[in-house]
Amino acid sequence: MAAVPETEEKTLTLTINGQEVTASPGQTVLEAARSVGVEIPTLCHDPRLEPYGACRLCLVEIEGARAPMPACAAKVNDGMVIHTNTDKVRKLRKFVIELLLSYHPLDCPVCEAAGDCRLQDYAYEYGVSESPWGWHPLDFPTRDDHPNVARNPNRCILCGRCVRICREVMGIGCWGFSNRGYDTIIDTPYNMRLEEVDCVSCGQCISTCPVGALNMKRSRHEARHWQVNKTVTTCGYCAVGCEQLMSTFRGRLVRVSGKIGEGVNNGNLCVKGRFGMDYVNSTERLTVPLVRNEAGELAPASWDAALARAAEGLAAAKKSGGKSIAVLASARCTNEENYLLQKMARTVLGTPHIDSGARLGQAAAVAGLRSTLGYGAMSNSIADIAQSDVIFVIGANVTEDHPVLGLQVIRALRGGARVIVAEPRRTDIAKRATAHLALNPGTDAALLSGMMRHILDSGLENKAFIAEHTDGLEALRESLSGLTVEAAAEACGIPAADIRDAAEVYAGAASASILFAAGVTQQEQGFTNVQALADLALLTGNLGRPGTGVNALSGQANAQGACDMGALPDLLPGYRALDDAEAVKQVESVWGSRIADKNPGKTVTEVLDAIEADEIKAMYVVGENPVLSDAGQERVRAALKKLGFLVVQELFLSETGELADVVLPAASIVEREGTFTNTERRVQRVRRALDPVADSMPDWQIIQMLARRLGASWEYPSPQEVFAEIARAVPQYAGMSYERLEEGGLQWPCESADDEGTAVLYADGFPEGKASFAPVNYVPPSLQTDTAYPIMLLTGCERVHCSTGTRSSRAPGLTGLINRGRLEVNPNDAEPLGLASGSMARVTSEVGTIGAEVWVTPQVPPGVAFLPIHFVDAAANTLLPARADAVVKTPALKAVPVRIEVAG
Amino acid sequence: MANTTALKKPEPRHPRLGVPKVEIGICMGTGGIAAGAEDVLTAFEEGLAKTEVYGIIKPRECACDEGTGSSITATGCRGMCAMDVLVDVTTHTNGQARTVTYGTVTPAMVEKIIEEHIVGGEPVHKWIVLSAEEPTSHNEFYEHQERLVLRHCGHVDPEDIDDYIEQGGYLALHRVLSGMSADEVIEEVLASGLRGRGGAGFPTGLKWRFARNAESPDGQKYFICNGDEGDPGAFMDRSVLEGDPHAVFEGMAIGGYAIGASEGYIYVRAEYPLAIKRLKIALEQAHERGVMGDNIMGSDFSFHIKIKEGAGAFVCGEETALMGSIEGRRGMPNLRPPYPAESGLWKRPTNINNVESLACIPWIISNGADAFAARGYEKSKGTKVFALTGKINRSGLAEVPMGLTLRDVIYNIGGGIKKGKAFKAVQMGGPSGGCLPERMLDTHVDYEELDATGVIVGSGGMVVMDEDNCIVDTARYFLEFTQAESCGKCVPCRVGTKRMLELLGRICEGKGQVGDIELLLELSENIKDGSLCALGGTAPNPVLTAIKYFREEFEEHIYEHKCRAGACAALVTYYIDAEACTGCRACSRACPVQAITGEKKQTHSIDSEVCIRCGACYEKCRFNAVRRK
Repeated sequence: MAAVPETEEKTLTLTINGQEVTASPGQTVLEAARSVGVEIPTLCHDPRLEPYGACRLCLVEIEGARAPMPACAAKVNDGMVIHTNTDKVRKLRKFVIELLLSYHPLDCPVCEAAGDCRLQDYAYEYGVSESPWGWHPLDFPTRDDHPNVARNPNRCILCGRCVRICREVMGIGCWGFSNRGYDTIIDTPYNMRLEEVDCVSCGQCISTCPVGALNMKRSRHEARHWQVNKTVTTCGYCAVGCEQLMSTFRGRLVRVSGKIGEGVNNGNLCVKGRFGMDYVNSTERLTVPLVRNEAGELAPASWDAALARAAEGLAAAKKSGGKSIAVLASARCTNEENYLLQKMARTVLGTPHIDSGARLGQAAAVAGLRSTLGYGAMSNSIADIAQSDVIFVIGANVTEDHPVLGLQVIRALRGGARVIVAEPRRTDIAKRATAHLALNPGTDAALLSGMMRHILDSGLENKAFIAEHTDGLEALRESLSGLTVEAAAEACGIPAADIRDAAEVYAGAASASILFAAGVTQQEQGFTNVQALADLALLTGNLGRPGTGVNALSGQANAQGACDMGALPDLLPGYRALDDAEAVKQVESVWGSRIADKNPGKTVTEVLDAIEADEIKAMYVVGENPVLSDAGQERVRAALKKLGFLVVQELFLSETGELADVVLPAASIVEREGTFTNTERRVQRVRRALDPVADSMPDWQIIQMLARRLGASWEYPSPQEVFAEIARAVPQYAGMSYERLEEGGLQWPCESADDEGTAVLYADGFPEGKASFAPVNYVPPSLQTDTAYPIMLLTGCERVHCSTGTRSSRAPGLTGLINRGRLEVNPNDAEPLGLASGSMARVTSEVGTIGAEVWVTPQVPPGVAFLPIHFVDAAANTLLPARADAVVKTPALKAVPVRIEVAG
Repeated sequence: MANTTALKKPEPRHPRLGVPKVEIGICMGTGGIAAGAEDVLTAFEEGLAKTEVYGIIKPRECACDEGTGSSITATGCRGMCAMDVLVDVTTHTNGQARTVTYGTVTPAMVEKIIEEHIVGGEPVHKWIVLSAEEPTSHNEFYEHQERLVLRHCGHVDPEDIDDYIEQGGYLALHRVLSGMSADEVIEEVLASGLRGRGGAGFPTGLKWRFARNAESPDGQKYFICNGDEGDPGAFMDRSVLEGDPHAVFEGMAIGGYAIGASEGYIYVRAEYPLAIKRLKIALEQAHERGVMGDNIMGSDFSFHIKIKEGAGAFVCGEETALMGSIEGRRGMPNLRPPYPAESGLWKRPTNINNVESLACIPWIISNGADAFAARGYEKSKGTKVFALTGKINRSGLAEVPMGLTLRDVIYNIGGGIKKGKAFKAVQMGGPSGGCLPERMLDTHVDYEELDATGVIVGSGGMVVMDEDNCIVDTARYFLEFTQAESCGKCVPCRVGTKRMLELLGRICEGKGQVGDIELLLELSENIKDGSLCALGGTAPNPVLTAIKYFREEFEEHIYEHKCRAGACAALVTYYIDAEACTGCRACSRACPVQAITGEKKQTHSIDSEVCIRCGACYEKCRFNAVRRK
């Protein structure tokens, strides 16, 4: 492993207002000043943006400089002497504030920004109550045409932060300056509506506006900034794990923001994180437990009655053996909840059948990476993606599904990195990429084999790295011998030269990283695909350094944590094997109870078979919605109906909940304490910003109550104590505690109290000593298009919604943008079928039929269609036959051949 | 250093085989064309054809027998724009060439010129503006000038590279490539004392050295020519681009060689279509002749120039805004540092010079730094082109050695004030500069000396004002220009100049208040100190100098509601002196709002309620009967 060279960080010494300050080269005067608590006013500065120097508030005097310099842009030099608060600069600052107040409206009493307005702060600080030149208000029309963004150009101070964040951070450019001189305004191109100009509704422009020119439209007049309670927590949507600041007032969530410059997200948020949390205020929330009555209807019940009924039903099933119960944990629940649930399954219910929603993707990544590299997780960190020279994105729609992580790829692109995207569709990141390999669905293993074959044939492999750190190259080489680059190209439907180019670019990079997600794992060869990606990185030595790695992007907020916690049928917390007697003993001693069944249990995919075979009779489903998420909606529905007893624990009455005997109302993620583990293995705190709605309760509490009803003697007063137990049961978490997680979290492995966590895995070698190459044998997908089903339908997520829409479809901030699934069809296919954008189509596969609105777009290639998975009205899983990866049983949810016709 | 083994000295492809008997040169700069030069040219072609004696021979066509035929050349501007259309007629008798220049030529005059001068051999004396044999008062215009930058303007056909080469063009580049190292080139330019002619006056050689020494991540550097001449009243760059485009290219190539750039951009404002057209033609010809492009003249030095059209923003003359505009962004100045020499276009080391500076380069290389430095004054060496406009008898382009006094330029070259009116002020350096009164006219044309007065050399605009110009209104005009052209980025410039403009506006309207002058001074000082770029940093200069030298006029406006120049409409009343009025009706016909009544041959009168104070009657009256107070 190439040791990270210990570069001695040079430090500079400067003087700020007479105080000696140490700074590093490249820092700005502003950064150096703020690092020692010297405050310099700024309006156009945002640490996420390049220095701009427009507002002139941060002017400071630097000895030897001809004129005052903007602190936001001036770089520190050794021996620099800086004065930040001289009469001269104070006079200039006051002048700027006076100029701004010569036109800025003083409508602070009704301005959303009041209390969180820099101009207000500085006018106060500098004692500017009016301008010496009178007040000359502007008279631009206000605009409210975006569902979430309200705009008042008359308050705009033209700092350009909205313009710059959209361009520099988002890589888009919805905003720009229009006109010149005093008539300059910020506007969209040709004054079009925001939604018409590539806006992704991230609200980043609002987040950076220092005054009240851009506001969150949906929270207007809800609460002043000083009235709200603010709570820092972790977003519950995707696995990037953005830090959110929840503002609540009178028991309601008012608004969500990021803290600029903080968290893995550096203060950035996506559309879901910023506008998608208001589902917690939804009137559709479950407020009381529901129990199916004699009439067969779900009726409100007391907690006591509901828990009694649940315990009774599960206990009854347990009588015919623990194996007759299956438990499904959730990648959306906290670590503490997953941990308790698997402990309950294994020790209270006595069943080995514990699995989670992570099965739908992350489980394959975990298994594939563990088998080759050692750790089943993203090898590197979000922050170091931008350090890559080459980024290979495969099966990951990063800018839509992991939008804030995608910003790192955009940043890398802006810095000159090359990005290769392998993806059938022309996704947003594919459009931005240096090269887009539009491969046929399900041929990822062929592409990767072709690339590796070319690397080996051309001698581009990193021989020293392979010799020192790996085993099994010959087996890989042997497995690749059957497939030429040309044959791979044939299978993928792309030119062989493109495969060779991609291989050469990747192998030739000083540091190359791989990003992959469910596009790779939700396939019949999902496990193989992951192994092949690990092989590719091993072959070229792209592991163990910043900017390299095999980076599995987990889907749901806590998919990684659910796996870490042992919500897996074959592994105990901390990925310890059930046949490892030593490990079992240690876990049992922490738990103080026996693991009833030490055989590997069934995955959720296999549980359905077992229900059909009458082996499983009862199920406890927490925070998952298999009716919409698993393959073959009718089959899943039938299986769940067949169960003797079903308990579902949810925020809303989901499609799965409707089939349950007992429905337990859970508190939302902002109503409970806990931790999430994000995709980069960072364990972060989830904090309670609101009390649980009505009678709902946090999942951990419900699980504990049910366990106690079933005979457990658990007495966890709060999630903190559960976490303390996790630290004892999970070696990778051994060094963590709530105290240590308080500021920004820790990345596992973190094995002792003085361990700072691990940003880059394998920097000091592989856990097993050496990494293992896995042979890669490409097998074409079992289902191919034919004359009956001529179009390959792909499924996936789109930017605005999340998984089965349980939450996102109840968030007005999101449904106002998109509230239906649209079937993307290529113009070449649409025309002969008589389909036009907006028309309704009937989509039929060999297992089901749905109707969907059509969107004709070249984003999908000819012969391929795409349907998002979030919408019950066009539920993609209805069409999917039950097929899964042979090894890890991750269902092949990504592609199915269909027939598309005009509906009617 | 370039490989010189294959170096080819540029020679005209088609040298002139013989001298036509009559040569006609017509000024076809923008000014000439605007005055009707195209019609004059057609009239000459048609008129000469009718004579059946002087068949027109295109200069580069080979069918010319010595001593017969005529040639017509469309040249660039020669600077004496007040007299456009200018036509040179050169005749050869007994081996002696004689050239006279006709001024304000119209197509109607052409027949007479052909008949009497070309056929008859006797010039039309009354129309001559320049002639060696019979000097006119206009000869003074050139006598005090020294033309280095404008050496070819008006003499060569800018659309014919052979004309340029015949005059020694591209020999400087040849000299550089055949043995000078980059450092030697930079030394030569440094030694010449050339300073940036765009206005800032930074030593060109030093700029080149910075760019040469800067490291580029991928070796790429850029050399940019700034042709975004935007100052109202400045047009010397346009004339050079229109009249001598190859000199600029040659200067760029030499500069590119010196700093190690293989790519250049020439950024020209789109309002200069003729310049752009001629640059395109010239660039194509230069490529064809191997003096531009890959392996120039057979050396291993390659230099490619792209022509980039501006989109109408004054601020794009600021170098960082200009680079942003080339990159496709809205032209808005960026903070410096980093300076372009470190991180400029596409974040690569970049050098930017103004057109006039670059046009000096071939001359310096060919004639030596010493020859350039021998001209000039103190720390300002060589010559500077000024654009003389306003209330001056001979408006046009004047290239003078640094160190002449303003009085020399305005009176000797410019011929003094029109209509014998009194000189009031000269606005130096456009909207970034300022105005100087009569008592400052002995100031020398010198960067430091002019700076000390509060004005600048700037791009070289000299707008002369007479007693009819109001100094407050003029300051307001220039500020209105910079305010409208502010990019909007920084607060002091965008908002501060607007507030100043409002103050000046109310002073001109007679609504000025006690303390307004102090408010203006305070705003000016803060705007200068606080602005991000030089546009804002210099925007208050016209106001500051106006207050400095003409404070009493501001006070008159504010306290007495009086505009002594009669230019501020709100402060003027027009009336008719009954005794002087002849009732000729000229004034009432000129009045756009029918404010003047009166029978023919009867005394007229002005209804001041209706009068909009446009001054049209005042201009029209030949009897000094329309008065204003």
